[in-house]
Amino acid sequence: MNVTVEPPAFTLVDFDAGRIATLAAEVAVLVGVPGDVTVEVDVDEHSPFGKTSAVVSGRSVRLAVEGGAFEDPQRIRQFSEAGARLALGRLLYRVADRFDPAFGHPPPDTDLTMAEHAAWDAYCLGRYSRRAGVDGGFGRRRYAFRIRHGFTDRADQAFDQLWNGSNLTWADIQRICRL
Amino acid sequence: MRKGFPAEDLARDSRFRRARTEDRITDPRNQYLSQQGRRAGRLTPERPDAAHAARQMMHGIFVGEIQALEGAGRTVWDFDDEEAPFALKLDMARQCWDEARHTEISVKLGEWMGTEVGEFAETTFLYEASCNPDPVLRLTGVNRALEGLAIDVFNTMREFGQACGDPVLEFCEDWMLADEVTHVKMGSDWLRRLTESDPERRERALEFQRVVDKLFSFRGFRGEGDDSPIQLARTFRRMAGFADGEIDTIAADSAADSQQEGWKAPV
Repeated sequence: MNVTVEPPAFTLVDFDAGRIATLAAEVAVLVGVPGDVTVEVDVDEHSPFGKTSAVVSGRSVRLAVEGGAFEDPQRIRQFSEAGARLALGRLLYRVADRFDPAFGHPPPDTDLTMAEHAAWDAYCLGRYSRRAGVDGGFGRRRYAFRIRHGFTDRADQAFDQLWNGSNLTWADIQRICRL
Repeated sequence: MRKGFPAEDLARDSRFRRARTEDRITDPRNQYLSQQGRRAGRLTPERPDAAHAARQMMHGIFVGEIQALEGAGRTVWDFDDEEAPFALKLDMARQCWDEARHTEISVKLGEWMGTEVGEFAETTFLYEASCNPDPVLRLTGVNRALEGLAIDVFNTMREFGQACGDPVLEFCEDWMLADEVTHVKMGSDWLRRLTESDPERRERALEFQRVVDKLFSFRGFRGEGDDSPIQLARTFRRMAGFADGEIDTIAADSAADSQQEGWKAPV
């Protein structure tokens, strides 16, 4: 898989572009992104915030990541490999879903509601944590989901379906969101 | 047991990671945030990163409670009965009990929100504000500036819990907020009593409080602007004994400071 990272060298944070490219390639293979897809990871090292997005165009993918998404929350400006893997796993599972014809056709990331983002993230991270055998941040994600879907038993049941789900479609995610 | 305890020697277990305030202030990314006019903004559910920001703030509250406990505890020990009346130290001991309870509540709230102890780095500037060798100045630093900030933070979190329908967060913050109002009230009362016949000392104490309050406003981090993550809680501050003029000063200092270039807290 062809993965490029921008910028090729970091000056404001202690990140390594080569390491990020290696991680992105490993995670992409793990989550099932097709091998012929080109991935560009564009890291905004100027920002300590953690906004991310993924845009698919033909067989190319551009991941836009604010530096805070890869940063160790305990060490200012230092890279967190576990955190980066989790962020990449979430983003690349979405990409893999978009390349899967059976998944359906979700709108672009920019057109998703915050409730849809929370739901799809839960589905992606639940799968990633099982696939990679890591802590995917169940509690954190459930709290984020509750903020968008309510602090109710019904919302928790919906979250559990997403977190534990596999082979869901975009229509399934939307249906679960309406539970 | 020694008197006057340095922040770097505060006891923490291996889960905690200390960050230096200087490193945050000198973070080279600050200049870019300033240039872009980028701020985190008010803590509301409408923020896309609301859950993360709330969890980070909750962790800040947790370590702040530990440091408030340490600060009030030092006041009980560091001064003899000549420097600080026994009744004042009794109030500080009572406050320690409150802070210990708040620490436990904050740990549980963190768990409720999916946060682990030590997930975020801890800075000790809250404790550092409670190390003044003059008991009156320390009292204003802890019980009026630090606990005043706690009123603003708890009210912000209480409103956040209310807005996103989190009944646990709203309830717990409301109860802790009530304690903080009492702590500030104690500080206001003791400041008045201890400086009754020494207006110059009272003036020095209030000036020290203003300096600490400016630090706590973090270039607009706490204020009345729409982009301030922590909102100044005027009503609760009045209940705690702050005069309107004092609250106006904090708001004005924060507004002026927010125009300065430099560190903008990312919460």
